[in-house]
Amino acid sequence: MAEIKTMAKKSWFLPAILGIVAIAFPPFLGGYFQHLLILMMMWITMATAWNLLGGYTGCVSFGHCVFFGLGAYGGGLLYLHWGISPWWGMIAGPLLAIIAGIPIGLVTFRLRGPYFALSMLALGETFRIVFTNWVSVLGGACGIVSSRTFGVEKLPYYYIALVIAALSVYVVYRLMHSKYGYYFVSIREDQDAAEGLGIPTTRYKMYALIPSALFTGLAGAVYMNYMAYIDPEVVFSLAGISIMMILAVMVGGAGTLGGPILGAVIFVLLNEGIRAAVGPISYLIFMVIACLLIMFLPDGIIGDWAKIKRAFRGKKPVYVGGE
Amino acid sequence: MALFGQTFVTGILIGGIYAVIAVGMTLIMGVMKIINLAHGALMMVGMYVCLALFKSFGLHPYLGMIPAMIILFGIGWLLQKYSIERVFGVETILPESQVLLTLALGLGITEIIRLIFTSNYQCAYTPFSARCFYLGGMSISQPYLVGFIIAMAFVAALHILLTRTDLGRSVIATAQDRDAATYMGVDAKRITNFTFALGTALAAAGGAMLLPIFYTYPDVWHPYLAKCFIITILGGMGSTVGALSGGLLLGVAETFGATYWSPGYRDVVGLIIFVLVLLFLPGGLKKVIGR
Amino acid sequence: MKKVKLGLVLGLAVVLVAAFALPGCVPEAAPPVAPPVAPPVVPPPPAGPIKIGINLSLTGPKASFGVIDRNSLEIARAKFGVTEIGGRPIAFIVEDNRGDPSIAKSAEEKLATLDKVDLIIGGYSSACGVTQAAAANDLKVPHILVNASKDDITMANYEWVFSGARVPASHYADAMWSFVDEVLIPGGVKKVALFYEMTDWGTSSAKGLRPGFEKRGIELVYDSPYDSTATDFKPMLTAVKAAKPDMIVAVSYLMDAGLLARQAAELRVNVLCYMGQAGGYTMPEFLKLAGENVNYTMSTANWSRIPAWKGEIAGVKWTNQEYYDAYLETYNAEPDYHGSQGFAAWQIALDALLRVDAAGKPINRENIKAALEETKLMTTMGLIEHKEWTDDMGHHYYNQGLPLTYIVQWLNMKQEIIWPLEGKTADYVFPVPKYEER
Repeated sequence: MAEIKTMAKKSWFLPAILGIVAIAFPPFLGGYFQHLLILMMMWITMATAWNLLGGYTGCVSFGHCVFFGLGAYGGGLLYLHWGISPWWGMIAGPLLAIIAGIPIGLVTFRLRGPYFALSMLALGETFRIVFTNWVSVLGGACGIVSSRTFGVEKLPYYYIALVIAALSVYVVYRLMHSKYGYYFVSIREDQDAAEGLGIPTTRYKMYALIPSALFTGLAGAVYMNYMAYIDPEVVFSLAGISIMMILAVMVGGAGTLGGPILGAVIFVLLNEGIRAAVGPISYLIFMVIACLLIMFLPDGIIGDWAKIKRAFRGKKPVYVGGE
Repeated sequence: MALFGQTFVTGILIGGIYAVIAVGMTLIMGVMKIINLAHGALMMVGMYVCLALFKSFGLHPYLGMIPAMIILFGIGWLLQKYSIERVFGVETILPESQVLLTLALGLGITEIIRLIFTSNYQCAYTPFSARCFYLGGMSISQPYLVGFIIAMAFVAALHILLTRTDLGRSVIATAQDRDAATYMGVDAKRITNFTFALGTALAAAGGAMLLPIFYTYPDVWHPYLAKCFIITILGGMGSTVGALSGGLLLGVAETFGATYWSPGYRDVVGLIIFVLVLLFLPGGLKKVIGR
Repeated sequence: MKKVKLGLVLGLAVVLVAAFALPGCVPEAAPPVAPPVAPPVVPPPPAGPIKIGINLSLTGPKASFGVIDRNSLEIARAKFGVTEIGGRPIAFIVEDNRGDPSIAKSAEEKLATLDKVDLIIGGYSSACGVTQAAAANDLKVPHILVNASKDDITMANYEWVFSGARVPASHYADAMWSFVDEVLIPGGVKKVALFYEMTDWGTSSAKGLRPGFEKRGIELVYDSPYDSTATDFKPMLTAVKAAKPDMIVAVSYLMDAGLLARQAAELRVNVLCYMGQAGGYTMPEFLKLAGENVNYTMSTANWSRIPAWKGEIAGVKWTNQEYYDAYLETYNAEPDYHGSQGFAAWQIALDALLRVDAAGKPINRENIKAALEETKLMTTMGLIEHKEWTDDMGHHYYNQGLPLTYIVQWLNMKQEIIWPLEGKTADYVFPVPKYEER
């Protein structure tokens, strides 16, 4: 917590500069970079949302693709069954994610640590299989091809994604600077102690889950509208969505405000940069970099900032587990 | 009746092979208390080692299993010593960074195998792979049966190793209480490395048993990883008997789901069992059986 | 605390400004630099290479077929030996999309805007095909599809997207229906068991098959998707056997096809006819996987090295067999129809490029597109034309040809064409002998 405050004190103007750049700069970029920026905003939203539940509250979910997928399918199903504009999915998707999130939370919050992680993983897989098989209601494996509103124009998608990303960061910031934030962190640090102090942990975990599901769902709805195509393999993907969300947060720094943002930016740039540069071995290189980052900066770039600074100052870095 | 019997037998036989793969994971989870997401990928490496031996020396996978286990034991040891141990037990904001590391390792290993062996589907079939005999209207495949028998032998041997030898007892002691074991003179670090390597070797054995009846490609491991979790949770962490009963139960439940419900939903059966066990039987079958 | 508040206010301001910027007021936000997106359209210097983007899944779970496609494109390029047209060398720019639709879109955007390619060839999985086609159409780059068989892709009225040699999933079974009418129904087939792998391809194939059986009064006694990565299919086959069908219709990838054939033999699931739907059942590896159990298995097919299709492009003659041999020699593996579609994609592309050049026009996106619209070419997949038409299911296609389909049967461990009769290489065997009597 102290960390967040010092960060905020030191660089309160940073969001402003970033915001101005994020608003004013993209119109000058080519379509390809605008596309990457849209993905980046989407991943910032998802990473920030995951971080609220995983990083701050300590409930590491390996199944956030459930909320992403439901967010995407909200609009998709409206379009599939009633031909309604998938933009209504921006409301229906997150709503669906929250509606599903509440019972999921009630069930899985009884579990802790790795058991919680695994049960979320199982739920993610279950959703994927059910959405693949239930053709009449959910469209099945063929997925849903919807219409695209803006056609070639990418900027509207970008600004929508930007607003959602900014909103998610703002909401998490506010939450973490309220009493909720302190409760969340206390649950992460020691759940038994938090319970002993009279914090209803399940309820507070739920308070973290709902915004988390909401914003992940919103990101899913943006994805749906932007890509105009979803199928269960893609939006309920364990390796492609759930895991990558965690990876982005952990690379940047779990339990920090800037971590998910930085992590998502690095994630998109690194992923696409390596892919464009080296071709088919890119995934291997990406994974090697991920391994090294986790091994040497287990708290992420922002979380281990001190360690990085020390290393750059020429002092011998103290590697964790090395002594 | 033939439908029921056939379903049951198929489930039991495949469940035995699941059990061998899962028993490795349950050991690792029991001792290290971390989820090892690289387990499936290491099983896949084992399959490829057997495949390479089969292709170049004509060594049957059942024989190739032994060198494969030795090689994978080494790989497991090295991975644990030089990578996972670095983050193991380190104070971080989220202890799950270890889980993520094992996953990144698994995905990286998959890509290395892809570079060496390409993405093509490959198999090591011999005439033996297709042999089967008939018993009262049910067909029993010989490679399944042999795989099942070898699997049972492995589980039994492991059980004896864990309960009757000093090494095994140190493993169990480390699993039960790491600090206490250290005070009693157990080199917990070494035991952890050993457990990880042993678990990896067992995964390779499971992969070798799958090879004559199945096929392999770099991403073959995804469903098996999920099955390992389910069995580990179902059986209880660190318990060989639990893993065995969990494996058989999962195999039977899956095949019944596929026969009587829908083949498309067969994996959902396992996942439902998984969540139900987590909620209503924490500790798994181990608790019920009383180890 | 004050500073924190200030930060909050600023953060809020950012959100508000973002909200204002949202409703498409982009030009106002940046008035001095008027057309922001595309740099001034300067035609590339004539000596620059003709760039062909290749966008395929080369890593990830869907890599194996993407790699076959890329290899086949390379074989086709080597085969026809055209290295430059109109003094401009031909360059392939290969992008790996990992089989992920959003990465496929990224790659397509990169090819179109950064590399400024003249033509894109790509798309193995349907999911990637959808996003690639949409992006190519938005960016006005001609795109030739390779495999992606989802019907919707060419039903979307994308004028820049060309079907190439791919077959829409609902048409894989075209050749089967005449066989059903003339041979199977008179032969006593009344009940059919249908099972299909549960991803997009299998599901849409099954969707195309059901009405056909319904129309003919054939009862579907078993109808279920399955997971093609499952270890054993005995539970499903046991249930199929219990349903007592006369015929099995299966939509399978390669490895599951092999396992299904073996396990059907083990369980003695005797039927009058086991009909696969292309996919794994026509691939050379099917023989390796299923051994002698391949015998009597029938399958619809849209490519085989047997048909004596041949032609000439750029003065180089080709046949199906030559492509097959070249692939076997170069990559030490047998190609399948996916690869043939890749080979055909380059045939179609090269033909279009040569026609543009022959007409004396510069080779650019517009002209390539115009040439592709006129495509009428014999390829390894049969005669390909890009037309707008409606099929009997009411699907309205754009830039879509319809490669020929036929039926093969495995006889004495060899694939023979049995239907249509005029192209047959062997007589069909129906009903097939029981497993016990083989």
